[in-house]
Amino acid sequence: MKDEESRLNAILSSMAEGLVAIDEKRQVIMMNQAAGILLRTAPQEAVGRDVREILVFFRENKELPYEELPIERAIVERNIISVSMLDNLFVRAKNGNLFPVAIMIAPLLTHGETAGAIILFRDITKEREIDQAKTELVSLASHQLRTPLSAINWYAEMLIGQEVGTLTDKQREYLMNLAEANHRMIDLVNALLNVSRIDLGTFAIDPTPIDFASIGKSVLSELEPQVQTKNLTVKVNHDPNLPAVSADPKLVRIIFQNLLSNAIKYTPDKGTVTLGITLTPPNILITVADTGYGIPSNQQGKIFTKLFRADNIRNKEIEGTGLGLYIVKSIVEASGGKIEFDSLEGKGTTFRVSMPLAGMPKRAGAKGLT
Amino acid sequence: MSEPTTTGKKILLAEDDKFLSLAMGDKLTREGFVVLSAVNGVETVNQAKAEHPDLILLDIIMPQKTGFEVLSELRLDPTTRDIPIIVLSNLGQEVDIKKARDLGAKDYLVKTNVEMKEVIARIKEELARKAT
Repeated sequence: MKDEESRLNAILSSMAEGLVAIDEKRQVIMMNQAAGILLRTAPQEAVGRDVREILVFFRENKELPYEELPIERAIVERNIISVSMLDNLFVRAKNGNLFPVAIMIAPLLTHGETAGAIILFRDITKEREIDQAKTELVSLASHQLRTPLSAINWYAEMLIGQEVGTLTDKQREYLMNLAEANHRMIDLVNALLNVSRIDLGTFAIDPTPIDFASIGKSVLSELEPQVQTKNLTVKVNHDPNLPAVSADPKLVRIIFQNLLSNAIKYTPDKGTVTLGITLTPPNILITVADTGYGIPSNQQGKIFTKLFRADNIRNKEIEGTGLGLYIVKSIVEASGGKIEFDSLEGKGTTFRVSMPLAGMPKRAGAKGLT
Repeated sequence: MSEPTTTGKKILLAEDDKFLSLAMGDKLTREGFVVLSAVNGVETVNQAKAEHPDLILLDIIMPQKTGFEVLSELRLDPTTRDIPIIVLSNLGQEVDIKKARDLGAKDYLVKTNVEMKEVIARIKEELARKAT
């Protein structure tokens, strides 16, 4: 018994992660050395005290209210709660310093009753620094990439406009292809920039009362050239009395832009694309339906992941970045909404986005999406 | 064909990328403008004070002084404060646009999003507004 106890103590002492065990009264019953070092508190000093005095959580420099404490959630919900880097949670050490943490909290259950919890945490300062550096690099690289892309755009525009001499039909065709490829590159750079902001959780949400229908129709009119080239039928159905919803117009535009351009891109000639905007309290529902190629059933689980493109589309050599739906889902979820879809290969796809009529929550962020 | 109202008007083109500067400079010249070029923020301020151009086309990320600093400085000088400035940058964030507008920029265009003919149209609009 003694051997077992000292072996257990040795294991706990050698752990790199901080470990704190609490009883059902939230009192510390055990704390390992790593936790003591991280919290600048001697383990023996912590035992017997309320864990809320020992582990004080902060988000955006504000102390987390009692009901939002991950420890409480684990105990109340009787669930393992995991807090990652994206949750931006900090813990205050005894010396007053805040450090970012990743945490795993498991409720301690004996005979079906909650007897406390085990809290495992580590300092993620280094990981955050690396992640920040990665994101800044992507952001800087994307911005720098736009300069030569602008130059290609402008020179192509002057050549196509025959400002410096006449062109043969073939020269004009090649230059048009060059300009189109360049536009795709610009789209890709913009998408990568958006993804880097989403991944860091730093994109801003700036709500203002907006009319969803007019944004949807404006996006459709921008896509009119593609609609005409493919001879598609476009239908728009929206409730006549849609209220103004407090949402970020740029983000709502990105949602419409991606869903509608996908529907147009992935629908063969003479097909139909239908945009619906309806009131379904407490939500506003956007539906984008097409009679397109559809998504193979075995790949439907992956469509919201980064860089995913379905096999049936790759075979058709239709251009796309594989980032659009990831961006849409991230925006919808950050806005308190939900996105779903139905798809049948060879028949078509319908996306449904429901956004709360109560509006998007405002979120301060370093950067907006473009 | 350039419009009579813009022929001979002096445009100060502040752009540090040589390919963009050459492209826009050629385009402006073909449109009948007289083009002055600056490749950094300090040169932009100096040329604006010495030459009093009719309009400045201003990049933001430039060596020595950013476009924001140039805007502030020219606004403080009574001899340059009325020169209309159109920002032409690849920074496209709302925060950048707001900052430039707050500092007095008449317009803000994102290079990858605009065709040159749109830039020319905006310049002509601004010059026409200034003339009235």
